[in-house]
Amino acid sequence: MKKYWSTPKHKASNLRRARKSLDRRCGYRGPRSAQVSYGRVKKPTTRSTKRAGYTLVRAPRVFSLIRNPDAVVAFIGELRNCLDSRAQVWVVLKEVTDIDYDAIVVLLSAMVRFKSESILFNVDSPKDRKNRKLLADSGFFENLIKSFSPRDNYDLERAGSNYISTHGQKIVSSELSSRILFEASHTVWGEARRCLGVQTALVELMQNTFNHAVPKKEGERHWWLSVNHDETENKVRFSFVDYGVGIFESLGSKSEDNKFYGALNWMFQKFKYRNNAELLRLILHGELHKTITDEYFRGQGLPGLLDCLKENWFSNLHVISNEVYAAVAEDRFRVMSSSLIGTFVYWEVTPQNVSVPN
Amino acid sequence: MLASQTKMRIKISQDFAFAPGPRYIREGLHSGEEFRREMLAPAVREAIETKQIVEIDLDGVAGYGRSFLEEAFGGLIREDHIPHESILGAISIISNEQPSQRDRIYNYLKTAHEKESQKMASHT
Repeated sequence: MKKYWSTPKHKASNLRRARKSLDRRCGYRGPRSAQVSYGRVKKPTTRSTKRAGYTLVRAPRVFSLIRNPDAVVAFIGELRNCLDSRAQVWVVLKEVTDIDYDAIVVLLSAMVRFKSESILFNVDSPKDRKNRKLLADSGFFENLIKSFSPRDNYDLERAGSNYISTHGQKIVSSELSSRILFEASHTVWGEARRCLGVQTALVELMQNTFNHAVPKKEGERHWWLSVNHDETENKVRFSFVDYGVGIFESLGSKSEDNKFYGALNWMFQKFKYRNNAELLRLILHGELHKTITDEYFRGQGLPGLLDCLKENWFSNLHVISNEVYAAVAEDRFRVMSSSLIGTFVYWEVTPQNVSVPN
Repeated sequence: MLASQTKMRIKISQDFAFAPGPRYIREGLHSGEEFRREMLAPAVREAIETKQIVEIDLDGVAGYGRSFLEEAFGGLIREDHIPHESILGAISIISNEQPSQRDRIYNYLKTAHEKESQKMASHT
């Protein structure tokens, strides 16, 4: 009699059993090399699963509003579009080769804005070790796992060398700014001193956000202030940002009952400026303020910034608003390829700047 | 100012706030409006009535927003309707830490006087 295992019936049954066994063994997905050798279909990697459902927004390689304003402003615009459409965002930082402190306030404020709206916000780490450390020192990763509810005040602080403290508020808080400057003076001069002009600038900027960030509404938007203490260079860097409508949008959208209504027309008739970069220069030199006839006493915030720079209370002043980038200290004003819906101001305080004893 | 005139004194850092704030009360704490209403205007009025001088010491604070000072001093003319000449005769500003503030304040007073006079003239 022919042996059973040599019959075609047994061979067919044995093949079915072997296939079922193979399926079972491959079901747990085992080592990828084994799956490939068995000719299995390649499954998605864990990393892409993590990012599934997120909109990827790539940060510019040079992530600095001062050195690369066009690209960073475009990046902020992408984040804003995602926020407006409530799309969850994954910020790709791994390709960033250079990150400056001024970009940290952009990331931190974006993170809080997304999280307070209950929209998922995530990032990956920069590959570069120095950039990764800079971001970690800002407390960014610690805050990334926290939840934020919508509120008027946010204080994100982190101790350590080269630390960054970031604050978000809606009203003018002169006490907060004086406390920040008290700490800054220790970093810059090694003792408590008062930086009168810096306090002037901060109060005026907070007030501008309160009054002009949203047309016809006061105290609607947060201002964000990020302060980096560089203890090796005895330097403190200030980055102030608000996500209102920006200086030129704000001026253009004033209603008839507003003090600035028609101001752009008067300015144009008087100075025939070619673009908003030239207009910003005129505003900083107080020309807009001079044209206001009714509420003549308002509109002194931006000219005050330039005066404080001239009086050497701080250095290296930069202003970005809408499509205008201004390195004010170098008197460079230009129109950018992208537009920031909001206003960003940066300056530094060093031992060469003026201060008075406490 | 006559040598015989007695002085009232307001030191903002001690009598009002170390960190003076924005222009209006609604914008935040320690505003120029609050300072003018609660402290400066009553003191200036009293000084005018009693022929005294109010010495306003700006030193010792964290720093002033322009709007704070404009509202506090320009507002004396604009809101409290105290005549420009009377104010000039009743106040004395001390600002050793930021001497430019003194000129700025007198300029605010002058501008407020001129603009309010223009407004009055156009209404009549």
